[in-house]
Amino acid sequence: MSDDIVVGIDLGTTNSCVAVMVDSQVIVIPDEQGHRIQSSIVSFIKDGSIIIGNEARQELVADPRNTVFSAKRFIGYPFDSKESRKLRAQLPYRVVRGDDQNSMIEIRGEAYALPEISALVLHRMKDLAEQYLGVEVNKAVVTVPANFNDSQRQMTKLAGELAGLEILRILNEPTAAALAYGYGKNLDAKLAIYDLGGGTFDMTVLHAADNVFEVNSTAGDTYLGGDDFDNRLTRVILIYLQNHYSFNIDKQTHLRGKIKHIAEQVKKGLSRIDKFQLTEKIRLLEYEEPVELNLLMSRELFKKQCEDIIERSFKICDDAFSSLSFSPKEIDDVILVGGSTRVPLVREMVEKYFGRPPRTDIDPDEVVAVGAAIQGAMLGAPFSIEQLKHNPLLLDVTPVSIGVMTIQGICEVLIKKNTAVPCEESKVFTTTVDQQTEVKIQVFQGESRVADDNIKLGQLELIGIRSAPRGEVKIEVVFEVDTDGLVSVRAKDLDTGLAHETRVKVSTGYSEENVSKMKDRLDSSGLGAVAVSPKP
Amino acid sequence: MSKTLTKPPLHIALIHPDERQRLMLNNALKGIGATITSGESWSSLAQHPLRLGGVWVLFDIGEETFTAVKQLRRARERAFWGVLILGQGEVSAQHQLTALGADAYLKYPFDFNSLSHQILSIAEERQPISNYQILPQQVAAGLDKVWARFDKLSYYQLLELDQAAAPHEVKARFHQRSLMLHPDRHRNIKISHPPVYNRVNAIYKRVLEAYQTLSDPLKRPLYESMLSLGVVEWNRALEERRKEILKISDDVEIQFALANVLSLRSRGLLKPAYELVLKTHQREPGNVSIKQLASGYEVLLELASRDPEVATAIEQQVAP
Repeated sequence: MSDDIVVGIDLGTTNSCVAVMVDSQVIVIPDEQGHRIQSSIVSFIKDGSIIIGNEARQELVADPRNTVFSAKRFIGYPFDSKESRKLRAQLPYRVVRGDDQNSMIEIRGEAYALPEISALVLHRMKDLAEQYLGVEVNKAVVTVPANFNDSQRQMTKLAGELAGLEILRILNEPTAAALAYGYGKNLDAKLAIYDLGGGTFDMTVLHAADNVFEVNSTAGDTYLGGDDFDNRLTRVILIYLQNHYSFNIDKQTHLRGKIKHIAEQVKKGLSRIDKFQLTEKIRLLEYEEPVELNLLMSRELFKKQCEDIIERSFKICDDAFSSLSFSPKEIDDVILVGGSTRVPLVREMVEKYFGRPPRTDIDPDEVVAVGAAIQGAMLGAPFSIEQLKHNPLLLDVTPVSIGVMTIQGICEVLIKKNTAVPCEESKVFTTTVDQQTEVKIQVFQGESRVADDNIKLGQLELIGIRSAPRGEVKIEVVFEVDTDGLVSVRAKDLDTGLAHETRVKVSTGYSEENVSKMKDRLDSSGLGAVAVSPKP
Repeated sequence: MSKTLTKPPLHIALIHPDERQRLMLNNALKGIGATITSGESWSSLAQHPLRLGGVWVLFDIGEETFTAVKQLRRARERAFWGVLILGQGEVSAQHQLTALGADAYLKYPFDFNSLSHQILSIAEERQPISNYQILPQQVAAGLDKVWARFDKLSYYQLLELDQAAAPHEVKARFHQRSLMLHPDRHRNIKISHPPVYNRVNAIYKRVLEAYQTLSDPLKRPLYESMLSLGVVEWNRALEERRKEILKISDDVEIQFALANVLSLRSRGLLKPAYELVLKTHQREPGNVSIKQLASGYEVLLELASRDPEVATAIEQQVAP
């Protein structure tokens, strides 16, 4: 019975949520205190225990060095990338270089890979579902931002496996939201999903008709989100403190966490009321008594500080509409996703852009998990003609172009972004030197013509090529993107028609050895993939 | 899943010029539970009604083997037939035969285990989907019909649409097909019946391709112009023509119109094609390329009006 249960998990940068479909009703699963949303925070306590979720929030201030938040922002970015460098500068916890170039988080001298952190969050969600349902849960649909690339998707999938979950689908967050909104409504409508989360922004345009949700186009920015609002407000507060008191910021380990926390409260407060007086006591090393923070916070100030961040999102919307035959004003329904869309200024500006007010009858924090749960139920449904006819179907697209590096470092695009999945494209490669027995092909994902500006997916090696004069052997390489948005490659010798041996170092970027190390560590932590062994 | 799945029946046609060898193979293959028909040459079995799918096991005896493989390939139900060649041929012959459509080439000396293994796996790959009895009968029968003529069906035939179908009809038909064929709908047979899953997947990919072409206002008329040309490698040709048109004008309306000109022209509708060129030229009077195109059509029409034979020739001529 529990075999048939598939939960939907929204694994967010800031918050996570789990839902399940039971008898055509979706239930968002609450924790012991009744909270339906969990913070994506993992805190490593001195005694070796690990606190995950809402209870870990207080550790942000109490023990910022050993408390990991926003880990999702790092996923898929090598340690030396400019993205990783930029992020590290703002964080209270330590990020170090792993032996496969990945960014790792160091806690008390031990380095954790990002999928491990995500696995802990997923494990917490799985636990909540199991407690609530009273059965074992081992299948899930997990959502990711639409513009996640192959390696970010692979890592998310790995995180799921580490948490003891079979991941039936890596689902794009906006698509999940559209499904949640349109499920059972028998729509024929053009939908725009404006998804502004803690760390990422996605715009997805899709058409729902005949029970089919067909994504037309998607665009996004993995570095645009509510955290940017917090950072701006943090700056305002810091400037105030620096103007009124004299202190050395680098010496105060808890200060950044504390101010970030206040900034977040300010943002939330301004979503409810127009203005208020912020009064807080703050402890500074240089002063014996806590100092006073006294600032008037208003929506006007918020607008001045954050308007340009929201403006940036509309550039991305323009990008999503550029390949379509209709304009933003022709959209039938605008759906808001992500906690940051609770900000009134965001709603105001979205309304102006689309020329219509966004739907406000959906909970932006839960809608993605609800959609994931529906998709999970669809994928887990027993096979029948009824299922084929009546269950909704999602048709998604590739968010990022896939190409290979040709001479002079140019990236030749093979699969354009916004191509419907599953899809495949082939290219014929040949030898350039006499008696050449190996061909190496670099595979990239991204929109730049210069290959090195894109994310390198990996290296494809065609080995054991039959010996012949150059140019004589023709090998057809087929690149395929599946319904998870994951890339795979196969090769065929065109003369003999025989499948060719290939070695592809695409995928997660973690060696098998490191993956098994992660598994062991999770197991010994008392959490981990323990659920793989059956419970009584 | 509690439902038991029946294995499809297996037929083997065994061709070997030597009777003793035939008997030996026949005995060796008895164990795999197949009905076996044998004969000394391809022509003696050519009319064999292997209608429900099966595997032809042929001994490589040169020219005749090539003919047999070619004919099997051409046969309407070839998709349900597998061909296994036994022989001691050169590497080049193996390659040529597999390129012609043989599924595998087993070289002498081989052991019977690997022979029966090969036969079973080919049979599994080639059976009609309806034989597996795992998909609803109506869906399976439709898929088999498509699969039998997979390489020959035009996009319109594949989607069962009229050439005049409106964009919303194309979309609705695509949605209807997607609900039945999308890999998500068949994920539970991915592991249990990979041959069925792969075939449904291949058909769905073609359906998707058809939809992407027929729902694109530029690609659809271009595809139509290729359709009557009988272009096999039309994908590449289409891309070339698309690029040519994009070079002529940045105006998308003009691009669509020019693609339609090609479509009309390929159907022998010279006059309407010419009129559409003229109309397009009015939209962008300064465009030299369109002007040249118009004068080209003028000459053609002039020639056609003078001599009915020339007119017929132009109508039948394939290149624009």
